[in-house]
Amino acid sequence: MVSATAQGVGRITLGAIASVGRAGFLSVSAVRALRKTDIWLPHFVPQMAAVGVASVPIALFISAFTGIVLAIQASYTFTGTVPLYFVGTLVGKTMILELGPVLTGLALAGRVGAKIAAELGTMRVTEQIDALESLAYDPVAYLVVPRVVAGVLMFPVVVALAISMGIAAGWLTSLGMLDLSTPQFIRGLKLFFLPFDVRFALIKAASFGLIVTGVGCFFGYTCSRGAEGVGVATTRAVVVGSMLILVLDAFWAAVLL
Amino acid sequence: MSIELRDVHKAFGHQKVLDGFTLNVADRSITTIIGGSGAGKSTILKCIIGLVDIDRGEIHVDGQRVDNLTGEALYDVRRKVGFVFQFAALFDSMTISENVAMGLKRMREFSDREIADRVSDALARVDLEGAGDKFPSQLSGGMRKRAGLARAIALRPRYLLYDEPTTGLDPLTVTMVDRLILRMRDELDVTSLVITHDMQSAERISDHVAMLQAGRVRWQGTPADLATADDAMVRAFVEGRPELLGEVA
Repeated sequence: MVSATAQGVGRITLGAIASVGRAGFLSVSAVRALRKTDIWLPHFVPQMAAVGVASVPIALFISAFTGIVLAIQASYTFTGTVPLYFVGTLVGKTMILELGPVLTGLALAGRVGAKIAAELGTMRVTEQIDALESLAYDPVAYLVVPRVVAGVLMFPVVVALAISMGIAAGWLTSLGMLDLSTPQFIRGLKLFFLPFDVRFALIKAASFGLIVTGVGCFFGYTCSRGAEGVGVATTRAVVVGSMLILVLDAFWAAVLL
Repeated sequence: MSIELRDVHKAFGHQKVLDGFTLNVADRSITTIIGGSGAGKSTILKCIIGLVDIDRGEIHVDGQRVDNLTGEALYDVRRKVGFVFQFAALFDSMTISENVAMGLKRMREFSDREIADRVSDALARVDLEGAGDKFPSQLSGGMRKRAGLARAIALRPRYLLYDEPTTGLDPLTVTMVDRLILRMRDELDVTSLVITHDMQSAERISDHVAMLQAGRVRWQGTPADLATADDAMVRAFVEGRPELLGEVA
């Protein structure tokens, strides 16, 4: 019993070490492939659209409702104890520093990470990646680099839009449902605002873009065992991507704040 | 000039797939490798163009050792070798014309007009003139295989590697694909290496047949030699009679 458990732990540990090695190898290959602009640049704009533009609706939807809930909960907490214009402070700070980047990142880990893993995984198991290589293409330059670069550049854009939507939703909720005027909401919003907060959010968003697209590419690119393998790769891309977003979130808070 | 594999070894984990595999593919010939499913036949083709790294041995293409090449040098070899995948491996988000043009675009030597001409020529050679605007999902299995062949010949390679080109096709389509393989040799002057376990097909198209067993060539000869081979394993495979395997030492 103990021996079987030890064997199981050993197998999982070795598997994890091998995965880290493969991920490192793919990362180095991707960095080297950056100079092959003739291969990846033509696919960059379509990937910006797929990773960024197509993600805007879901990001706006999530952030709008987050902004509404934040305003109502702040009002509920503050009434009778704290001036109500602090609703603007809480909505702004929370959306910019935490919920805008993290909720958007988690949503895109599902949408973007899963899509990339499924696409590349299907290409792997149907030998399309081998076919690319046989036609003298570097598959990392062709498939991985445009997706990851698009993720790093487009996630901050999507997150910026999401933050704006969340604050706007909080403001409209304050006007419509709480006894708060626009000047009061803006007064609260500006109270503890620092330009650094925006830079912090965008740095986090870019790192989330790197992680979500990179993890999706890794699990898709190294996929095996047919349809089941594609399913496993997709699930792992979402789970590992989401976990790494939370780890990175804590990392940036500890390092930058 | 030919393809030569010398004492090639390859293992995946503990599983030995190639164990001293040696074969010389003569210039402008069609050499067929036969063998059971999972014997490692497809691995041989992938080793030749560096899709799979070998553990030991040497592979020469056109007199050049290729198993130790990387980067652009390896890509140069791949431009000389067309690969027809078992299930065509067409890019499913592209039309057939775009698929066929992929290798040509990568070479950056051709104008758009020249690429279009070459694509039309390649599709005509495999009798797919009207299918250029279709997507792979709109084609039958046989048409997809022919589209895969068109993609491979568009680069005008010196060598063509076919990975089970007739698997899963009806008998009529198998004959059509066999005729295409012969036509490619005659019209394009290519050297072909074909992986198959379809014995009728092997006998129809081959100049030379090699049987892979336990990671090495167990038997080789002409298709005529196949009928008279006294190796029980070969006879069992050719005649589809597993009971003969009892005679194998």
